[in-house]
Amino acid sequence: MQVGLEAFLLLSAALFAIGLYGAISKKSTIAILMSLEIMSIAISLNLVAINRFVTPSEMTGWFFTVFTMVTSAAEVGIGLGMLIAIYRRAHTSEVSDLDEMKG
Amino acid sequence: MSLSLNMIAFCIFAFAILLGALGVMTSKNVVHGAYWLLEMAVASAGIFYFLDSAYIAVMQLMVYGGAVGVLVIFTIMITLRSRDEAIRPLDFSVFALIGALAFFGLMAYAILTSPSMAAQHLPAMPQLAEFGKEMFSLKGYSLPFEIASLILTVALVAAVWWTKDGDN
Repeated sequence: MQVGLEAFLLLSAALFAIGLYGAISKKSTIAILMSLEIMSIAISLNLVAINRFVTPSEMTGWFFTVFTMVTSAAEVGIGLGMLIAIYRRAHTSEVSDLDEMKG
Repeated sequence: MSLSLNMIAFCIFAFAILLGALGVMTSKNVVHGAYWLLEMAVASAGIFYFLDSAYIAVMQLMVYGGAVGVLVIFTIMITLRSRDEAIRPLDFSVFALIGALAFFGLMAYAILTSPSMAAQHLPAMPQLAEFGKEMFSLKGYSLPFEIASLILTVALVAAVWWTKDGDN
C-alpha cells in the first residue's frame, strides 16, 4: 500500500501544531527555541513532500528547503546568542522573569 | 517510477517524528527535550530519504542533527549551571492548546477536502548534479545563494557580538 501526498501534509500540519503549542505555552527560552525548530522541520517536510509529488523535475522544493535550512540555522544561532546575553544580564532564562518593560 | 515508500515505513517514521515532538513538549528536564529534538531530526531525515531526497536528508542530519543539536546542548550547559535549574514543571496553557488544535483542524480540513495536486504518474527525481548546476547557474539560484551566505555571515557576527564580554 502506497502513501499519498495527503499523509505527508497531515504529518507536517500535526508537527507544526505541536511546535506552535510549545512556542506559545513554554516559559523556558531554550524550550521555546526548540519548539521553533520543530516548526521549521515541519516546513521542510512540507516543502520536500510537495516537491516530490507535484513538480519533481523542477526541484523547487529542494531549493526552498535548502534556503529554509540556512535561515533556520541563522535563527537558532542568533537566538541562542541572545539567550546567553539575557542570561548574563538577568541571570535567568525564564521568559516570565523578563518583565522590566511591563507597565 | 512508483514511490518506494510504503505504508509501514511511513508509519514507523511518522511515529518516530511525532514521538520526538511530543517528547520535547512533555519532558521536564530540558536536556531530555534536547535529545528528543535530536531524535526527531534524525527521523525526519529518514522521511526525506524515502521521498527520494537523499541530499536533503544528509543536509538535515548535518544541520539539525549536528549543528543545531550541539548548539542547543551547549547553551543548556552554559546557562543552566545545576541539575535543579534544568528540571522544571510542565508549562500548560489552555489557550495555546486551543490555538494549536484549531490550527491543526483547519489544516486537516483544508488538506482532506481540497482536490489532490499530486501527479498520477510520478517521474524520477533529478540527480544531484542537476541540482548543483541549477543552484549555481546565473539564471537559476546563484543570487539567493549569495544572499543566504551573507545572511549566515551577518548572523554569526551578530551571535558573537551578543555573547561577547561587557555590561552593555
